[in-house]
Amino acid sequence: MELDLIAQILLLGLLQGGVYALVACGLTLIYGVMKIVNFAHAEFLTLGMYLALVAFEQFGLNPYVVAPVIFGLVCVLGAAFQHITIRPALKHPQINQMLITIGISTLLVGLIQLVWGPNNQVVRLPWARNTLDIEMFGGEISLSYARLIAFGVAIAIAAVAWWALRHTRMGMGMRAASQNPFAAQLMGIDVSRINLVTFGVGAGLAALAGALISPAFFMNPTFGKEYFLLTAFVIVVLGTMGNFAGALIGGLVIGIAEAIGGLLLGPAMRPMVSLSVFVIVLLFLPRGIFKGRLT
Amino acid sequence: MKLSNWLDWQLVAGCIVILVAAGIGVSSPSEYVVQVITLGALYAAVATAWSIAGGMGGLLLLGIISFFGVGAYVNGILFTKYGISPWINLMLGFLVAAALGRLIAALTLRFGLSEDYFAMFTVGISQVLKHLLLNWEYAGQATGIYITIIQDDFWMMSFVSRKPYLLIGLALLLGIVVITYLIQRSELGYRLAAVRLNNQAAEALGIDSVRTKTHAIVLSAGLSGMVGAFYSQFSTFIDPAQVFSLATNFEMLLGAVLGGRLTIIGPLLGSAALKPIQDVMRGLMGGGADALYLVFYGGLLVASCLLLPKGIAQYIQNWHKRHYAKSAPAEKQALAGEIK
Amino acid sequence: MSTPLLELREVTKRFRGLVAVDHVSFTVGAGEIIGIIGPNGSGKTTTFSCVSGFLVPEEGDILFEGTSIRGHRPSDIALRGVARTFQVVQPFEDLSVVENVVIGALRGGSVDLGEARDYAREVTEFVGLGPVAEQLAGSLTIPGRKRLEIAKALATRPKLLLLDEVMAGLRPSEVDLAIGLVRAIRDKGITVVLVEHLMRAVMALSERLLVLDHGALIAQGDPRTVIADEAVVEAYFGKAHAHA
Repeated sequence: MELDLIAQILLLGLLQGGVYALVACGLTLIYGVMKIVNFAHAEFLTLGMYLALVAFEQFGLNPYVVAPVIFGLVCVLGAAFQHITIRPALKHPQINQMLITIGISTLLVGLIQLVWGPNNQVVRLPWARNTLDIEMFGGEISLSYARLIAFGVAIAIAAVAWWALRHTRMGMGMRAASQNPFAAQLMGIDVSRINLVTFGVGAGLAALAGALISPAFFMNPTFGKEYFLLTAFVIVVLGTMGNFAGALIGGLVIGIAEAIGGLLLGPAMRPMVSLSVFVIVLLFLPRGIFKGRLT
Repeated sequence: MKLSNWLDWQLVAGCIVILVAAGIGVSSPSEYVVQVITLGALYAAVATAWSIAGGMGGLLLLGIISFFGVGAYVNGILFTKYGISPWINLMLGFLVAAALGRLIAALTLRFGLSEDYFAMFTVGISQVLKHLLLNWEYAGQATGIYITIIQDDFWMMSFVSRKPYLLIGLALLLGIVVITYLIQRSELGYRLAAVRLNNQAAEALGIDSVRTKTHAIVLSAGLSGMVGAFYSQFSTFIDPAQVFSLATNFEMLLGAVLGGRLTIIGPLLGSAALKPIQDVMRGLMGGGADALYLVFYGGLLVASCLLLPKGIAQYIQNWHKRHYAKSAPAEKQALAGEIK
Repeated sequence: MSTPLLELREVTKRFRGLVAVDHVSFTVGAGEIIGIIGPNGSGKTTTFSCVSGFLVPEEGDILFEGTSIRGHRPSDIALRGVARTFQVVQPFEDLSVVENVVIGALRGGSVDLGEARDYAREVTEFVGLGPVAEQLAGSLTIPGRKRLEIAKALATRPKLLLLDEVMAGLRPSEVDLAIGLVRAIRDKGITVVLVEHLMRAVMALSERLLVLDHGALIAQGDPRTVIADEAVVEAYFGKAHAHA
């Protein structure tokens, strides 16, 4: 195979991995602090895509401009879901909490379908489809602006979130709560407020990722579930559940691994890559590649 | 068998519900009613099968649809390609799905590994199976498998009328209800309760929690596979998107959760309540009903987890306790009758 | 010399940097009652957890009836005849008292359910929980919960019973009853190792006493001689006084 084609596929995998990383960050943050696997996570991404679509079609706003607003809106929505449905269930068995997030997921898919219909739609941002062409390995590598921007912003946001975890009061509170919520409570940290903010921010990050990819992917109500849920699970498991840096690196690794898998086995077999990674991690690295939580 | 025993009472009540459903179905002139009852029975059968692992065993086996789908494809392939009787395929569906359950258990239940992995893995595997079948040319890829039925042939489970399927579906459901009843009364019922309530204490008392959980998973998986095998024969058409649908998966779980996943009769009642509601909604609203139904059952799932964590059956159990405490105060309940 | 029932050889368990059990070696002969004392955090419960398989020591070996059980699953060790109780009691709260005991009596499923029920009833009577057998375990008082903890362990028909602070939180009269119960268990031919803070119970029951401090075994032997030992007084009673 041509070297330039391989480079093209690997680079596309890396770009995709950046988006994965941003989605997985939110999921791992929620797990790290609250010990809840959020099955509704992918729906917040889908919601982000549709909100970007509305902003674009109704108000002519560019998804990249409106992304911070979408982040804020879905933050509030996520926090509201947390407050109404998950907070009362925190003392219930784990299975109830998971079923509640599944219920939220189903509810959101239904609402999205009611409002926007079941058909494929996309944000038709004309220039986003244009490509950046680079001469490399005796050939030309083309990367669409939509994907380049999504990657760049995703990585930047994830880096900011990583910094905030270590240097802001709220971030340090989250890390304390992830280590030991009871001790954190004793030290005067308001754990229920931390939970609220964590779930909100986690959902917001997923929606932000959704807004960023909205010019590059066709959306439908089950888009998030179909394309991101399993992958996000695999990433957080690979990067050690609850480990923020692990999710970042895991996202990039899975993005590239999927690209390589697609190259070797054909694009249809890409989901097999995620499963294989999942099985390998379960067998050989049951605690993931990192240790500890939110470090 | 004593009605004052909660387990026995549930079995009798379950049989009555199934018989009534059979009576309505057989006497109804409407093919649509027969279809709804049969589908309801299948959902109830999977929900009841799931409750062995997900209820009694307290396991986060959230992706039950994998086993259902595998069973459906076992019959779909063996019937259309090799002409093997669906009656045999029910057993083969059980075996293949149980083997898949065994494999998943072996991968995920290693000592000390978090339950969260298990939950995510079981959901993930259903989507992987879907993609595998979407790419498997032999199994029809996205087109799926059509089963053609030309004439009545009991041995090939082929009937022009829908009514025989109704009876087979209800018989399957009855069989699974009886199996859960027998498990609750057995040594396995105690082991599952021990592992669910306190894994560490169970281990300290000599109960191999991994082995116990594996038994529960294999049983839930196998029985769901059997139902799946029947489903393909009944519906005469399967494709990956349908038999590995996460929406269907969670709808089946909702029946069990709403009814009460720790009881025998709960999953049956929960599913029996849900299916007709869906069809009424569809009747009233036509095509848009699908989305509204998702909103409805997602909301119901959240609400029942919050407000009725033990399900509707909890109220029936309380009534049963009060009723028989009044009428037979001296009588002691059989031991297993008190397992909760 | 015959094989001891239980033998620990240089058992070491670390948690990150901390050495919780430090090269501990001792043997337990069949039919003995052995007491283990030591200040909080001296490694008593960790030693029990190593023997019962809930923790795997990094170094050393643990032999039961001459066979190494290091790294075996807790359930396997329980079926070989080592039963333990937990310092923080672990009842199956939603089951009745006798059903809790049935779970032990099943011996992992190898005993027929009818037989297990009969034996569970017998054990429930034996530990004095007969009158509350049908109550939910979650409704028991502290002394009742401690007894249930013993009953569940006894129902597995152990050869060796590890009792972790079963007297803690009991009133003096209840302690006397508990001492009688432990003696009755030994008289059934079951070897007992008990971790206990309450010196009155330890001195009344133990035929041999082991003292742990910072994970190390600092003394063992005849109870009266051991508690007179200077190192023990300093490590154990000295600190106890300091706390008071």
